[in-house]
Amino acid sequence: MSKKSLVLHMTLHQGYFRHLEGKHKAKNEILFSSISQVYLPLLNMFANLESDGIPFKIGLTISPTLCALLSDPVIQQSYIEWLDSLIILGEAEVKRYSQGSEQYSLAKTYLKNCKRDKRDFVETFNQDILSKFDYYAKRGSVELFATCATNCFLPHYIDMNESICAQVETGLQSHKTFFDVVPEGFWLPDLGYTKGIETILRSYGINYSILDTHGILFSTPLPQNGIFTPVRTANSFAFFARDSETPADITGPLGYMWNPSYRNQDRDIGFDSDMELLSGFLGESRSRVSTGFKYWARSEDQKNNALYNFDKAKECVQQDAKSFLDKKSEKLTKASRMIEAEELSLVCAMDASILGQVWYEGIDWLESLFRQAADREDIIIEHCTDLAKSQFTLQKVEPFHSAASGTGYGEDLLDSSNDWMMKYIRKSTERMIDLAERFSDDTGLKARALNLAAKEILLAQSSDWASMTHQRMYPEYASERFSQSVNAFATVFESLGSNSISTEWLTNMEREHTLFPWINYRVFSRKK
Amino acid sequence: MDTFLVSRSYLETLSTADLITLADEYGIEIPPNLNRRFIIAELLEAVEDIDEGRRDDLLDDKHNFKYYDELPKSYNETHIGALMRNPVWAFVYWDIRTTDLQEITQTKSFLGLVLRVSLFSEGQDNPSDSFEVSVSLDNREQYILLPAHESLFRIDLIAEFSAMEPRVLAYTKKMPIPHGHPEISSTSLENKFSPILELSGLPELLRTHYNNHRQSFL
Repeated sequence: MSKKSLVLHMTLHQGYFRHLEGKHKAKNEILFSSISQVYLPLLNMFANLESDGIPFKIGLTISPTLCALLSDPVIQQSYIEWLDSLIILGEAEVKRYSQGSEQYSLAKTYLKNCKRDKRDFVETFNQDILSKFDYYAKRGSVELFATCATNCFLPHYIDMNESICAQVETGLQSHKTFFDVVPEGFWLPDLGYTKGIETILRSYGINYSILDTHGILFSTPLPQNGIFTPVRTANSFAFFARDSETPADITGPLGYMWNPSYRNQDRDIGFDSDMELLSGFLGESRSRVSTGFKYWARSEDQKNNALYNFDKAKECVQQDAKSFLDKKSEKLTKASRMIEAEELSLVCAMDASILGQVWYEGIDWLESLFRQAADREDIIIEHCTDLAKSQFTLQKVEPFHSAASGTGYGEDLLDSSNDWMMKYIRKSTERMIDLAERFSDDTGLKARALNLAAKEILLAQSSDWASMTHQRMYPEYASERFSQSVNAFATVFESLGSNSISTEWLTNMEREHTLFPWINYRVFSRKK
Repeated sequence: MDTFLVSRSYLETLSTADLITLADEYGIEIPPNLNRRFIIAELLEAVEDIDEGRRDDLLDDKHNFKYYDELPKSYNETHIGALMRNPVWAFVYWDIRTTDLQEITQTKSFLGLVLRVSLFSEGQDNPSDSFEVSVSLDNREQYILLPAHESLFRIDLIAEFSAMEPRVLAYTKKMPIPHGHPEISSTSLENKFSPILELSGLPELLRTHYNNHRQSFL
């Protein structure tokens, strides 16, 4: 009888939005709401499971840009201030409703949650939530994957190996800095893969990664075990296939998140209430943002007039966790009747923002999944590393060019809305590679300027800008940030030509983009 | 010219005539019929010598410092680049140096610009097939459909003339066209796959793939 395993993997990513003042300050809310709705609930879930003695295993990719933000004392302080303003808003909300009403009870719960978040962040985690993730990694409950420095869509740079090496090497260096290890697994941003990437990853000692389903199913030869066992490439780099049904199970038209008992994430007082009520929270920008004060449930009739009920939602969470485990177990059992393999697995990989933000009850569902799985014998939750032990006996295939976005190839990252970025970033990248070659031994101010140039290239290569432009999510901001990085690079490039630079400007840029303080521009050097 | 701008990749974009002019600027004597590869090597060596003398650190000079706050419309280089948007569509972008553009457009017999797409089989130096796409003088980018059965492609930016040979202004590297398993084709929509591939979701993926990427099945 084959062992049947489920692998759960979540990606925690945030583009490098760091604005302490000015018109973009409100963009920090994206990170702050992720901390409150996803990262803290995840850590609290781990703590609950640990204290109840429930074993759990989960794979996490925490992107280097997110690590840089979470470890930034200025951002940490801003998050506390944001929570303070949310607590003031919550107190006003509690006053707004008469005691005994359902809204009053919900407002009180949300206010309590805000206060709990502040207490957890400041007192329990000492403002350092990365260390807590590291703690669970060292206990073996969390398998941390490394990823690229800045969520770069690698297939766009496949003809520039030095650039892919720079993204991988900086990503690994960041991982080592925050988690003190070089991991075996590597997460490809947007699951972007094309032939050749595995060679670079292998050269850095990485052993495996995850591809979107068609990357494996369209491979040559066809995978004899389908998506139920990993495969390996000619250089014995292992790839797991992502289960294509998992995203649909959650967010598809019939996905769990649409249950009418769950919270309606689109209705928030930040968007629905009078500006007067929100003025203390929104600050100078007065841009409406999500507050987390959401009173309505998703309703079957789309009228959105049913109030949210925590108890009802909790019941559904239990049922949906059971349904998910039943479904995956049934799929693995069917597979075990078709093929002979010692171990069969299904890899369920998703963006962490889906659980907690897109689907408010998602983290509770995950906790329920672990609790129920601990009592079942038909399925076991494992890490990729547990399943890659027989890596050198896996079937050899040539995976297919693939990605998790667009229609399976990352087309959303290269279309008429964002293709103008390509000529700039590719030209700047070519120049950076030349600079790393030409100034290979330089030190002092030149090296400082070159390090800034390398950092700005990595930032400009982030697919966040193309993706935001495509999705029309703050497109002007995305263009501005992309241009800022390309222009900063051009400024250093020309300064090196004229042999002079403004240290005032250089220092300001270093202060504005504090990520990767240890960067070495030679990561862009040609490998000899 | 500033030595800083002289890199191998930049020099490779220059015509042989421009290389000779540049060599002249650096005081390098070029014997007749010298291969362009050697001219580039000579130029890089000369630049390296000049750079050696410039090893000093940058000066802190905020008065003459120029900060770029706008993206350039053009890098004023004759260059072409390509990347895959998906397994069959390539995104091609190019630029033409002002002097090159003036030179070709002022030539009386100038007909226009084309992108020549050359297709190669694995391990072959000569193209197995090619086709051309006309582009306007103002255009700087184009999406091009590539035949799924070929292995590699290269795109040349070419100026065409009625009274003289076409002039290749720039060309991309030879780049691979991604390939899936041969059974992943239109005929396979009717095929029966093994039960484990069906359970893995292959038939559904193929249907989606066919709907979104019909060209891959041509």
